Amino acid sequence: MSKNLAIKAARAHKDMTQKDLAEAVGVSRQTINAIEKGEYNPTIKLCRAICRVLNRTLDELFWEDDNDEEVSE
Amino acid sequence: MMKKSVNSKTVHTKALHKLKNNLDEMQEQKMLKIEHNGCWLAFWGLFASMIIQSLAYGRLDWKYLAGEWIVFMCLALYIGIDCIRNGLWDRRFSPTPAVNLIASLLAGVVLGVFNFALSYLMYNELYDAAIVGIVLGLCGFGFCFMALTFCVSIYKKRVKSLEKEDDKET
Repeated sequence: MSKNLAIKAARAHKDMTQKDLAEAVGVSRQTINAIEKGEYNPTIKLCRAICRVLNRTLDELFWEDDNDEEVSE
Repeated sequence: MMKKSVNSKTVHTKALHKLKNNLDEMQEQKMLKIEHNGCWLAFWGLFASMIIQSLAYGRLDWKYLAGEWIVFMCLALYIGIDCIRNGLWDRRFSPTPAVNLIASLLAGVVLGVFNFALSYLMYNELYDAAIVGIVLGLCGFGFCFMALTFCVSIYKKRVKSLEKEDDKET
């Protein structure tokens, strides 16, 4: 899974730290860090919560081109 | 009286589930992974412990093995029954006669070697121990193959009924 730079950029745009975003969506900072690093694939429920807090759409934050997608075994 | 105790148990279980979960979804997945590893460690640890104890004592004494055996069987039954109930077989192996045959052969060999070693330790007779090993190995193979075939047939029936339920809902 590739890094999710869109979340990082949206977070920076709203001047939020990982901790702020984590508190806003009700998860731990490690989870947000893992999502940004591409180490954790969040559920649709968490994706929607992140989108709501960052005022972005699912496409803007989580859409990946076919070239970027890696299917994990 | 009985009804009262069942009701109080249900209330207790519900109260336990109402306790706030401190883990988020990623931590929950990690916790499940740790518990999964712990479960299989306990399962194979008990299996190894029973074999080692029997070989160390040089006899199959149920007085020493009863505790391990009961926990081992409870684990095996729980995992087996709950997987079939949910229409699950295995991650990597498919429920085919060929796979069942190989798994049963493996179980037969393990059982045969174990009984050969145990018999040799108990009576110090190589020829007799070899016969015991071969006979019990073959019995183990046959029993295991029958049990697996039986489980596969139940599993397939369960998958069919689950698919029918899904069809009704859509």
